[in-house]
Order: sequence, then C-alpha cells, then structure tokens
Amino acid sequence: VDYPALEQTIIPEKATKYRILCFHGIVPGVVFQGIQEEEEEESVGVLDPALFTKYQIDYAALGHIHKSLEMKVGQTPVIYPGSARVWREGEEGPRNVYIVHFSQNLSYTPKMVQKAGSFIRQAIDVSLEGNFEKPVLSSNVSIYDWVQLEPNGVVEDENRVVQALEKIQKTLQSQCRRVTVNTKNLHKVEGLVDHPLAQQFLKAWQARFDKSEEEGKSILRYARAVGLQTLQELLGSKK
Amino acid sequence: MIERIIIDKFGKFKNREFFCKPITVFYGANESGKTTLFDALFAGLCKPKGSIGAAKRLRERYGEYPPIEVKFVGPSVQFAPADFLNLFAVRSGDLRVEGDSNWLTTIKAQLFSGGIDPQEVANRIKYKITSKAKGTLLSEEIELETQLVQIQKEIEKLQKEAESVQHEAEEASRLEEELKQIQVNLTREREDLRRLEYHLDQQKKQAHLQQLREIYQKLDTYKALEEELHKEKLYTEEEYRTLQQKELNLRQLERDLDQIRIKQEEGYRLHLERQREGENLEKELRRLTRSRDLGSLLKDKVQNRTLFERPKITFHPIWGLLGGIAFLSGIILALGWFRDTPYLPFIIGSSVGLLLFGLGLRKKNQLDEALFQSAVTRACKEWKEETGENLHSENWENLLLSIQRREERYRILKDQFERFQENLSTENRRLSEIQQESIRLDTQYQTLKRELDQNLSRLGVRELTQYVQLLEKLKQRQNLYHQLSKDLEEACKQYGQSDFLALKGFLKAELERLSDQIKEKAVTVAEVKLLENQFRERKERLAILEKEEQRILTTLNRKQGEISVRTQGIPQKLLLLQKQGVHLQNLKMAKKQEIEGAKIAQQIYEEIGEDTSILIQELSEEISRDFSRITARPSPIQMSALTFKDVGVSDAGGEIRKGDGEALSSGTRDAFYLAARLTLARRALAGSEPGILVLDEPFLTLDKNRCTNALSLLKEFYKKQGWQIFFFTKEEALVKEVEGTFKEESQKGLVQVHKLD
Repeated sequence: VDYPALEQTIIPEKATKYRILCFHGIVPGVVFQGIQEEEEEESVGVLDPALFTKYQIDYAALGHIHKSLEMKVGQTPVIYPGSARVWREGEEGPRNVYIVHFSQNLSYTPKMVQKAGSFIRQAIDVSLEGNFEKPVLSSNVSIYDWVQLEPNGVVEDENRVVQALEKIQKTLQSQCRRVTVNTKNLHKVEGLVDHPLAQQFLKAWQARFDKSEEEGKSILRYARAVGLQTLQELLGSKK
Repeated sequence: MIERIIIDKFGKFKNREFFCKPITVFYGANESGKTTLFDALFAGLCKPKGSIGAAKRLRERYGEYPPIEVKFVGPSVQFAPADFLNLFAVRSGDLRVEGDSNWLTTIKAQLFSGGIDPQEVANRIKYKITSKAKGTLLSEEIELETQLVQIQKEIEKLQKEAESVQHEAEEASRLEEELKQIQVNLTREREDLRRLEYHLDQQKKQAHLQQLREIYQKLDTYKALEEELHKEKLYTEEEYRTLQQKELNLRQLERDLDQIRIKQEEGYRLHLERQREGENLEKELRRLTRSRDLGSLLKDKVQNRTLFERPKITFHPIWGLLGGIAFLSGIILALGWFRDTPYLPFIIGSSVGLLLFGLGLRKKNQLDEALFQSAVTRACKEWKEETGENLHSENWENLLLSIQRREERYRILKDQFERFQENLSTENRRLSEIQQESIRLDTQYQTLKRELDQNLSRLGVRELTQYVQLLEKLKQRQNLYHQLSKDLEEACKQYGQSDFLALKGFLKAELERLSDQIKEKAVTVAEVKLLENQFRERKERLAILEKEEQRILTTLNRKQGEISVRTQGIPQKLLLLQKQGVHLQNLKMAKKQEIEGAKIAQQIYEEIGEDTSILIQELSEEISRDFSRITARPSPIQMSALTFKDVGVSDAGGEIRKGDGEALSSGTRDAFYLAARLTLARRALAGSEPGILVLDEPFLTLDKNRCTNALSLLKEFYKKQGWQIFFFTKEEALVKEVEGTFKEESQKGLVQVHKLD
C-alpha cells in the first residue's frame, strides 16, 4: 500500500506469529542515494516509525532508496535490499536480495545480485589547455556496470574536452552497460592560457599534483580551480 | 601611435614639428640634436614633474621649457619615466632596471606575472578563506554551517516532537484500555440497573394501583358524604351565629341583671343605714336645740352684769406719784433756792401736790363678784343638768365657752342634717330608678330566654353547646367533602377525565389492567425504599461511569486528534530535513575541500611571489632566445637579478660564466641589451595596447651580421607586437639597413626618416 492509503486502512489485530511489512517507501533517517532532482520526480512514502510498534511489525522490507541498507526501528529490522539494477546516476554500492527465515526466531541473510551492476565514477584530470589522459577502465568494471566519466579541471574551451570525451564514450560502450559524461567539475576560464602567472601557477600545481596521493588529489583539483578562477577575477577587475 | 612631435624652445629646437610613422628614423651627425630629440620625446611621453630625478636632469640641461606636444593617432600613450627609460628606450651600452621600490614591485609583476602580483592573488584567495564577507568561501562555508545547524535543530525539534507524539500515543493506548474496562463495567451496571428498574417498576405499579384504589375509595366516600350533608343542611353557620348571638345577649342580660341586683341590694342596705343615720341626726339635733335654747336663756340671765354691780371710790397711783413729786419739789425749792421765801415754794408745792392727789380720786360701779358668782354657779348647774357636760371650772367664761360650743355644734349638725336630708332624697330617687331598671332587664331576660329555648327546641337540642358540637361535626364533614372534591378533581385532571363519573369508569378499567400487569407481590414500603435506594445508587454509579467514559472518550478523541494533527507530515518533514541535511553536509564537505584547495592555491601563489629565481630563470630563457638570434649562436643566459652585473652568459665553449657580463665584448653586450629590452618591453606590455620602442644607437657596436640579425628580430617584433619603433642613429648606413629590412613598410609609407642638421 502507499502511505496515504495506509493512513485510512484499518489494520486488523495481529493474528499470526510474524507480521511482515512490505512498503515502497522509507522511514525517517534514510536518504535517497541518487541525485535529488530524480527523486523529486517520484513522490516518496514516509512511514511513521510509531506504526511499527503500533501494528507489531516483525520485519519491514522497504524500497525506494535503490541502495542496500540494514537498520532497526526499535526492535524491528528495517531492510532495504537495494534495487535489482542500477537505475539512476549515483547509485553506488552492491545490491542484494534478502532471504528471510521464519522459524522459532526471525532471521535474514543478504545475497548479492551480481548482475545488478554498480555505478562507477571515473575521474579525468583536464589541463588548462583542455588536454587529458585517455581514461582506462579498471579490470573490475563489468558489462553490468554504469560508468560515468567525470572530467575535472579548469579549461579555456570546455567544448573541446566534451567532444573528446564523447569520442571516448563511444569506444567504452562495449565494455559496460552504460557510459555517461558529467561535466559538473569542469570549469571554464578565459584568457589564461598564455598568461605567465597562470602558467607558473599550473606548473607549480602540477608538481604538487604529481607528488600527491590519490586522496589528496581531489583537494588539489579544487586548488587548481580556485587558483585559476581567482587569477581570472583579478585580471577581470584590473581591466 | 605617435603622429607628430611639436617642439619649441627646447634645446636647439625652436618651433619644430616632426611627423612620425610606425618606423621612424632620426639620423644626423654628432650635435645634430638626436639626444635633445630623444629627451624631447621622453619629456613629451613621460611629462616628468618635481624637483628630482629625470625632471631635475632635464631642467638642468634645457632650463625651463614649454610643454612638448606629442600628437597621437588612436589612443594616446603616456609612460612612467622609469618605464620609458628602463623598458622602452634602448640606449647603447646601458641596461639598468632601476627605480623606486614600488616601481620595481610593479614592474616585476609586469615582467614575470603578466601584470599580476602573485602575492595579490594569494591575498585574494586568503581573503576568500578568511573573510566573512559575502561571496567568499568562508562566508559560504559559514552559511552552509548555519543552514546545517538550523536544519539539525529543526531535525532535533521534529524528533522531540515525534517522541512526544509517541508518548502521547502510548498515553492514548492506555486510555483506550481504561475505556474498554469502563465499558465492560458499564454494560454490567446497565444490566443490573435494568433488573432493578423492573422490580421498581412493578412496585411503582403496585403503588399506582394502591393510589387508584384510594381514589376509588374517595369517590365512594364523597358520594356518601354528599348525601349526609344534604340531610344536615339545617345546621348552618348562620343559624349558629344567630343562636350564638342570642346566647351571648342572654348571657349579657344575665350579667346586667346580676349587677343591677347587686346595686339594688346595695341601695336597700344604704337606704336602711341612711334611715338610721337620719334618726340619730334628728335626735342629736333635738338635743342640741334644747341646749341652744338653755344657753340663750342662761346667757340672757348672766350676761347683763349691771344686775350684779355696786358703787366704789378708787385712787389712781400716777396722780398720787405726780402729787408727791410736786410736793417734794416745793420742799427742795424752799430749802434751796428760796430760802428767803421758803413758804412760797412750800405752799405752791403742797397745793399742786394736793391738787394732783385730788385728781387721782375716782368714783366707779363695781361688779359684785359674789352675787355674780352665785348666779354663774346656778347657771352652771342648770347647764350641767341639761347637757350633762362637766365644766372644768364653774365660771362664766367656761360656761359661755361651753354654750358657744354647743351653739356651734348645733349649727354644724343642722347643716349636716339638711345635707343629709338632700342626699337621702337623691338616693331614694336613684334606688327607685334601679328598681325600675331591674324590672326592665328581668323582663327582657325572660323574653330572650324563652325565645332561645324555643329555637333550641326547634333544632332538637337542649342547649347551644350541643348545637355547636353538631355544627363542628358538620363542618368537619364538609371539609372532608371539599377535600375529597378537590382530590377527585385533581385526579380527573391527572387522568384526563371530564367528571367524577368518568373518573370512576376509568379507575375501574385501570385497576383491572394494572392488576393484570403486576407480576410481583407488593413489598413493604421499607423494602421499596431499599430498592429505590439501590436503584438510585446504581444509577448514580452508572452516571459516574458514563461521565468517566465520556471524559475518557473526549480526552481520547482529543488526544487522537492531536496525535493525528501532530503526526501529520512529521516523517515527511523529517525526511525532507534529513535530505537537506545530507545535501548540505555534502556541500559543506565540498566547501571544506574547496577551502583546503584554496589554501593550497594561496600557498602556490605565495611561493611564486617569493621565489623570483624561478621567474628570472624564465626571463633569462626568453632573453636568451632573442640574444641567440642576434648573435647567431646558442647562448644560454642566466640572470640572478635585473642588472647586467648579475647576468651570466655562456662563453664560446657554452659554459656560463656567472656575474661576468661586464667581461663581454661591447658588441655582444649590446646584442644582449637589445634582446633584454625587447623581452622586458614585450613582457611589460603583454596583452596591452601596442607600445613604443625607442632605440638610441642600438647597433653601434654590432657587426654587420649581428646588425642584420637584430633588425630582423625587430621586424619580427614589429610584426608580432605592432609597436611603433624609433631609431636614433648617426650612421646613414643603418638608415639604409632599416629601410631595407622594413622594405614592405617603406613602400607602404610606414617608414619616416628625419635627417637632423
């Protein structure tokens, strides 16, 4: 049932040992994993946790978040198995089915669904001139996965980068289920390519980036963007 | 681009005008005015002011001079003196980049960072990290943090609200249980109450039956009374009142008669007393009358004293005293004064004395006491015999006094008797009246008594009290009759019957009906009372329970309503807030990373600003490229500062000899100067409008080959940068060389050559 109907439904007294709740919705405390805009397209049912106690629920099988998650509301296990397939952008992590055992006590075990695939982000560092190394997919990437190419950098001409990535996208199509490009971390600046200070900055930045561990690279990417954008601001204000 | 230079009263030039082209050459021998024209160009483009530096030098050299007018085609250009002299004007054998610290900082930024001071960028990034001003990274982070805190607060608030609602729900659940228990009790109580109600109803019906029977009985009584009262209609209150009045009148008459008889008896008694009193008075009066008469007689006998008088001579002592005094006086005088004539005073004294004695002698009738006393004694004796009164002393005065007393008593008694006579007469009249009144009352009494007796006899009673008793009984029956009538009328109204006959019919039917309905025997009043008490108590208990049920129901409904209202939307709101929280948290994390990145960017810019060696190395490489083109061999250059002293240039073997610039040949040095100027000028105006390059004898020490190379480099510079180039030279060959190099420009009229005299 959906939530509005549930409010108006008269739930009979519990007459069996176990009562299972199946609900395409969530409980507070759980947040949709994908991007927000997509979630807003679908109205979400939110269960009041008080209902679990009121109707003596023993096991709640919930959905909507497209992510495998185990939690408890009071003593009631609340299980999100995750969608049977990667459905939207950002749905990272494995997907499961849950096998529930009804015996003296209720118990449950997850079983991973290999063919559901996973969402994999592939970061690509782009230079100011729009140059980047051709991405190579990890050997872990399977034909069931969704790969998203995410160029990151500050460039003079972003179209050039996008066009280059689109070509690469086509070549990668055969290796996975879906390849997408997200340019949200690709920032555009103008008139900096020949600027000596920009060159000096990028040179010094590259030295650091080359030395940096993987986890520090994302911060360095921000450093590049901030450094170049600030320089551009300053040039703009001097004009 | 400079179109014209107008000079007046400046050095050797007076009112001169020089037209200029993109390539302009001034040539002439020494003292022809090249340096003056160079200075004029400097003065026109830089307009130095003040009392020091270039301005001072120009004044020392040329004195006070009018402004040098420089006309431009397109945007005008003005240089700072240090810019012109250090960057845009090349003079043979000179490379000094100098000026004040501000100029050096600025120019370094120009040279090395495209006009932007790396520290300025670093500061701007630092500002973004540290300033809370709007639009900075910190402000955005704070804003995110504020929003996050706000959302967390709202989440906490909602969670508390949810907990509170949960508590309320538990309370509601408890109330529901309580309600169920009360409802069970209520059902039981209602059952008991129904049972009791049936018992009570039976007893009520019994009571009602009894009531109807009583009314029925009353109807019978009423009928019987009605007949009795009809018979006894003689006995009326009015009759009673008449009789009672008569009885009262009779009693009054009796009382009046008693009183009048008392008066009559009193009258008689008084009358007898008066008669006796009158007789006594009369007897006394007769005795006193005799005494009075005797007294008068005795007075007449004794009172005339002359009858008892005898004649008698008397001497008056005064006269004797006076005669004696006269006699003594005659003697004294005779013996004293009248010794000569003692006889005369003696005679006169004796005569007067005798005369006076004679005058004292009197003749008088005097009472004969004995005679008189004898007469008085007789009279007293006679008086005593008559009156029986003993005189104290038998003398005339006492007798007279006794007679007078008797007379007085007589007079008083006579008056008294007369008054008595009058009173007696009045009393007799009054007694007569009383006798008459007594007779009248007696007659009246007898008449009234006879009449009353007749009346009583007519009513069949012997006396009025008996009538009163009868009347009282009658009255009671009448009261009873009226009460019954009232009760029955009330019963008619109660049961909707028009009259007593109809009521009787109704009662009869109702009695039969009720008798059929009653299943239980009538119990005692005490038992009914007990039943009623039980019923009342149960009902009260039921009412309390119902009230409690209502209260709990109301509370429960209110609570459930509140819970429903309060619960409404909480999970959704909570979810929304949590989503917003996660979103903000992600943004905050990203912002944090951005700030960390910004710190690194700031650090990089600061390092660039601080480490000029890297920058100068870049500059060296750029100069080296131009220098190699002039010298036609690769010549790495290493600079440690912007002065020629700090320049290291490779030797023939390719080894860089640091700090040895001064040791170079003048041709090589000039080639370096030119390359350095071109690089510095290019860097100084990178990205700006085309500039002006002034070359004062730049190739003086260069061989032909290097000169050609240098001009080729300048042509490339001209084409690439589009700058206007001024040449100052004394060599005509160079003029031709320039015209040859810039042949295309010359054909287009873009080369202007001024020969100075």
